[in-house]
Amino acid sequence: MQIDYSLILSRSFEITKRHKWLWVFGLVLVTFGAGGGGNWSSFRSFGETKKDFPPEIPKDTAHVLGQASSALGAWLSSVPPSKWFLFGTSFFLLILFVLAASWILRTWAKAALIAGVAEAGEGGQPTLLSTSPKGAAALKNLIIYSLIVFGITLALFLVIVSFFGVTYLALGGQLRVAWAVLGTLIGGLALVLALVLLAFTNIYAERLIVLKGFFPWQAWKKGLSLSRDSFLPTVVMAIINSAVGCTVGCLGTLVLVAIFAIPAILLIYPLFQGGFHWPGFPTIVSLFALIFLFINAGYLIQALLTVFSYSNWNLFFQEVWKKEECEKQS
Amino acid sequence: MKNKASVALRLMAGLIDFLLIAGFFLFLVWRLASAGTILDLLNSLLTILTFLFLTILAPFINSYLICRLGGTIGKLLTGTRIVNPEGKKVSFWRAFLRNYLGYMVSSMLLWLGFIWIAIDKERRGWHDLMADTYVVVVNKAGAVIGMLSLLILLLANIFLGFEIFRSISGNVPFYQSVINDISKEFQQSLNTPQLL
Repeated sequence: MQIDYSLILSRSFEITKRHKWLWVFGLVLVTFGAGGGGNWSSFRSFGETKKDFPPEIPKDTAHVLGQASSALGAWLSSVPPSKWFLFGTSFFLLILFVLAASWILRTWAKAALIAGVAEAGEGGQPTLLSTSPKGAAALKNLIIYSLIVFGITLALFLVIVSFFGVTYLALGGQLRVAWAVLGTLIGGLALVLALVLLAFTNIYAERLIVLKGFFPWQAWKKGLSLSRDSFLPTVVMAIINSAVGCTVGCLGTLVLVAIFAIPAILLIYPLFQGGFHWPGFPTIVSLFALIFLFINAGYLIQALLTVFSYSNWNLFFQEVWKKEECEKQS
Repeated sequence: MKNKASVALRLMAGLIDFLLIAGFFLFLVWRLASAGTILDLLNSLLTILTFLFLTILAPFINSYLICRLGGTIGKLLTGTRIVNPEGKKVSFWRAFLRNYLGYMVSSMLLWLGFIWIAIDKERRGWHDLMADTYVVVVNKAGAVIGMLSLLILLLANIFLGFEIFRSISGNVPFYQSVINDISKEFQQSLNTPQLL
């Protein structure tokens, strides 16, 4: 299959530059969508913190603790269970609600961005008003689809791990060592390949749901077949997308650092001249303003990259779909 | 859409909604600040945290108010209403989309979504565009009532802030005794061999 990648990139650049309303969806995706790494790191740090706690305080030491600890102990036992229940429930509700809201927002923005980019590609003028309903219309199917994908990923992981685990336990002696090495290599590779294929399937399936009105399971099957048939062109598109993303992201960050960090250094430097002294109110406000602007400008750059990337995938998907339709007709 | 609400009126309505919640929390903080014993202090802290978590219900309450009465308390006091393009009340979920998810989107990137109200010809913020809603004036006397309400709420919040400051200033010896006690215990626990 012949795909003109340079044409895709130049058209995506045009779409990203001209249609500024699409940046809003990019912003939502950056704010609520790129949370995977953050969650992982926060889970890990939570675990580490927990490990750092000292073991249970021995009963003998209780008598050395003073008024504050006694009061805390007395308070803990004096609070009625209903109050603890309300506290726990409200906290649980908060977490549940925040997670649900960010998931819905992310899915809505994803659908709206796909629809908006498609509209822009066809010469239309996507706005927040015109694309929001499209995002809302595909919301339910995309949520069901993400649940399907979660189930498939989990099942795949369990199958691969249990297959290698069971084989490892069944073997003995030298074979077990050889299987451990070989199994880790092959299993790891198989898992990576499966995850790559799943990621490609998602790219196609999400567009099939939003742009072609497919149902979730139907979209997953069709997406899998499209990603299998066009595996290599999809890999090339992914590499180009990542390379452009990395380059622009790094350059953008460097520019932002030059714009915001240099004034910050100029503000902080005098504080250390002749020994450290605390900054005045205007300096603190200026520093906070610089940090705030730096974060927001960083978000904007990431949002632009998100729109560009979605646009690339949309145009690529259209090419693959066209080819599929041609093959069907012939 | 006719009778679009001005930026000032919408700002006033937003401030009233904000000051209502802020006042409630300032009241709880006042209770916390005036606690004379460590038990009262911890009880107040637990109450504040519980209510802080329960603010999650605010969008539901606001959405209910919008779908039933046409606006949040601030909007009702300022004589403005949230309507759909046909000029009718919006549904609960559309109100929820506007007031919760929409506000989240509007507050991104330097609150540009809210500033957009001043830029847009139709006086619509990003949250209005997302939910396809308009904010209109239904009662011209609302501006006066809103202004009075805002003034009362502002004074109440200032009073509570002042009381919190007074309570904290009066309770300094108590806070010092608690801090001293905690640091003493910390020192003791460090010197206790069983803990090491």
